[in-house]
Amino acid sequence: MSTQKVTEQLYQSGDFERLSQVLEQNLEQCGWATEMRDYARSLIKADNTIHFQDLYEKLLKAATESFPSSLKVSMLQEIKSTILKMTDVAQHQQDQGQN
Amino acid sequence: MSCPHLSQLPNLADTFWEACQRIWANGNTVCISCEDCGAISKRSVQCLHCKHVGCLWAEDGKGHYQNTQHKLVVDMKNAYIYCFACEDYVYDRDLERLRSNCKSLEAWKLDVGSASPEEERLMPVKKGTDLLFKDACITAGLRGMQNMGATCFMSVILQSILHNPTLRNLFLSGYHTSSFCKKSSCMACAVDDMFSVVYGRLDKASFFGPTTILSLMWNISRDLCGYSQQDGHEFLVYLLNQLHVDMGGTNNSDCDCVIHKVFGGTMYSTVTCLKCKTKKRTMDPMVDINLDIKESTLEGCLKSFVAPEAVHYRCSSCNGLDATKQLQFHKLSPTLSIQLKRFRNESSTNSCKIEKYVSFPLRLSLETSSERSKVDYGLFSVVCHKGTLDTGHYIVYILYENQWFQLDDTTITEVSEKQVLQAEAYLLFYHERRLFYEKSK
Repeated sequence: MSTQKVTEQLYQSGDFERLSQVLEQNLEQCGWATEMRDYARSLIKADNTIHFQDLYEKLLKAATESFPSSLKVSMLQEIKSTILKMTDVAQHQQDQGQN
Repeated sequence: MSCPHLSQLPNLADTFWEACQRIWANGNTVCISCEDCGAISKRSVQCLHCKHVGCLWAEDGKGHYQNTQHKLVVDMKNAYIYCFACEDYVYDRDLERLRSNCKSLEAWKLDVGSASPEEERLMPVKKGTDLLFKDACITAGLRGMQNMGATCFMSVILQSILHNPTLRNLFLSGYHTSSFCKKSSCMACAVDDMFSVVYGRLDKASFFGPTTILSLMWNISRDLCGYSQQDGHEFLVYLLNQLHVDMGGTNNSDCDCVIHKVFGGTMYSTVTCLKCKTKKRTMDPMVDINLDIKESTLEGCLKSFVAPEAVHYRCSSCNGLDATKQLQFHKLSPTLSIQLKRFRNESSTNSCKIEKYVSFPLRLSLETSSERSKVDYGLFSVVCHKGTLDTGHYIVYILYENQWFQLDDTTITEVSEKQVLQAEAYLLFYHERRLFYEKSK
């Protein structure tokens, strides 16, 4: 399955929404989200005329660099197991179809 | 930050309204993928000129602009308008009004069911043209409060009322004014005047002196007389009750006054006899949640609050003496007020203060037993107390226009989110992140 197909299926099954919420909760709890918001505010305070693109690039860089690695690992595992369950179901349905 | 390109689009209001409806009908769950690369999570944007959907965080949105010179798009996650020529999000007063009207209308339809043509006509006008406060000061609503002798316990509560989104909108809309009320010694009129002064005065350096509210309080409640420091939470309960009386509240358990609509919730208390297992359930009203500090996180304290505990209780069915009691939230109010019980009265002369730090989240989700099973809250006010009960000082952290401020009597300081979250909180005020509508009775 292509990445696009996988993403679409994740959306349809509601898993994308669920995984996003898990990720968001974790990022809030560990204080990463607070750091990012405070950083964004400080960038705007330093330069009131800053454009969205500039702000976005700076934040994206800081966000990727400060993303907690332990959370990265656990999210990837979670995503992997969700997709495997999906393909298992798809495989099962395919087998059923063939019989 | 309006952009000159907005005026170049014909029928902008209608096209924008349609895009907003697409986002919020069915509660913002629709996923709109980019027409060029198929991505869903690269922030889809819909062109206001031709409805083409591109992505903002990758190249397709910009690509469409370069091909067609269509400058304006709507961010399909939050309905804000982005201009590729200005390379920034742009804002227009009338469109902002449309945006929030559409959001409210769709949320209302989702909760209440589809609107009949008659009801839809009563809804906020599609093309909002009323003038807002054109000359409003940029910090209207953010004003210091004069300490008139250990009255900081009042100031922090009044600031929490001033920045309560529902109450603020209610009073600023003229719901209760002294010219209409005509009662003398009305607390609601005094609070309304406070809103007018704090939100209307243009001078940033001016502050508010709560003299009327203070004298009303002394006249009505003998317990709170005198200049000694009082408990902020006690004042909150007193103020809410007084407002409830002055705003048409009744003594019934299902009082429908505005104060109860905003602060009132209900809780189930179930007692289960350990011997014969019979359950006895009562429903109690509540205007706030008072938590014992049993854990180091707010979520932990709340869990402990709804956990079963052993009690002594004579069962009417089997005369057994042991039971468990469990509390459960049934209906949660739009504003959630939480008190962390830091002051313990050991005896009439000895009261101690628990200074243990309890962490609290900016967003809180609570489960209820009613049909609305989960309520999402956002923090907007944190009241802190420093010192002892008799000689301490209150300050409050307030969220104003997406920025946290520390309000210490007449001194207002911008603070980081991090600083707020590290504060030793005494009272916490949360508000529903999305207003929930009910069919009128």
